[in-house]
Amino acid sequence: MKKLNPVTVLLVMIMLFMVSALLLKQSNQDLKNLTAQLNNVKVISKQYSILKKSWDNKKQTLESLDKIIKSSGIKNLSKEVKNKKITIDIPDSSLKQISKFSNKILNGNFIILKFKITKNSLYIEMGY
Amino acid sequence: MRIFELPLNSTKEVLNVLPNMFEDFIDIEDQSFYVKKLEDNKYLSFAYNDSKIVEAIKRSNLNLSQVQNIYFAQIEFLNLKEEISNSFRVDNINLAFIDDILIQIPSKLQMNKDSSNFNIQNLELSKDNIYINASSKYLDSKSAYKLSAILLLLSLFTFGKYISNQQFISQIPNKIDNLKQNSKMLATSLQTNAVIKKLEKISSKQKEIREVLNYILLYKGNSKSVISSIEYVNNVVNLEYDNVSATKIKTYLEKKYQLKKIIQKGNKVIVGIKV
Repeated sequence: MKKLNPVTVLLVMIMLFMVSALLLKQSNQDLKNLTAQLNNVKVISKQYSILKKSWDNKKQTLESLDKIIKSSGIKNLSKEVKNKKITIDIPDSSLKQISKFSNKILNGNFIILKFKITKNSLYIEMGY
Repeated sequence: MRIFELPLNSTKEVLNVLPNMFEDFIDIEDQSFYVKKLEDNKYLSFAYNDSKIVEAIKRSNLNLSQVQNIYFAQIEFLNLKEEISNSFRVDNINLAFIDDILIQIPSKLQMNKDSSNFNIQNLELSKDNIYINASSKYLDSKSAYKLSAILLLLSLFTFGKYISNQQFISQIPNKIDNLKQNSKMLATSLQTNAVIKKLEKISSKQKEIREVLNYILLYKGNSKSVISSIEYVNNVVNLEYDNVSATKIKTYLEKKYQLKKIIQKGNKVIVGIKV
């Protein structure tokens, strides 16, 4: 049997180590890139979810609005949902009720397109 | 080769002092040493030069990798001294023991007729041998194997880390897909980014409207001052004040916003603020 030359063994080990080191370097780079991508997707998905929930949620918008209308106790209030628009019209009410109602609308995540508030009337157009 | 009588117990101790024992006779630089215990305190020792042995092997047209071990003729034939005559031939090399020391007799010298040819194949080799590392004079075999072992361990460690990395890498696309599904993101990042941009614009605009209204309502004029109407249309907030000073309200509003218009009609002041 041929005797293994120790220097040959050493050279093979050096090559093996170099190959493994190169592979590890490449995989570290890949891992770094993919982790950055994952973190980026995490940030974007969170941002997307929050924005969608706040400003692009028809169901929640209508539910919240109905709750406000119900709790306001204003009788001559008309609501119309048409062409991606919600129109609220209160032609005549007390200043207190108008003020309370408008405050609740402004404190909620409603997309206000147009409004006019006077001492005894309110007209709002909202999007969703 | 020398035979020493030394008050030392082990060959290892003798090896440590051998260079000093030889330096009076030969240049010990590049010399390796071997010692065999003959009897208590009596040692047979050799000084040899690796490169010279390698050259001799090469001159014999042998490949060094075929050479398993190298033996000292002195040791190998010493035990056979009684069986073979004092002088003998091995492959046409004339050898003889003189004072127990094996020497090569020049071929031109007349050999004893009784000198026998010794078939080297019949020789049973002892355990006394040396290994010649011809590959590098800077690195001995032991160090080469140690370094190889360290490199092998490092390679195994790096391979292990590589495999672990690959496992993480293979999981990431699934994690990304799960995130996208859970947050109901759109198929492409371009579409998602467009939606985010649109919604951010809406959010920013809505916050701005509320900030303007908040700032307007924070104004405190005199006791009779009231806002009779607030209107938001086409990105402009129109205000109708009763009983306010146009100058004061203008100064207040202009601290934060650019006014589109300010008109005074009697005790009414009409203001337009660009949002």
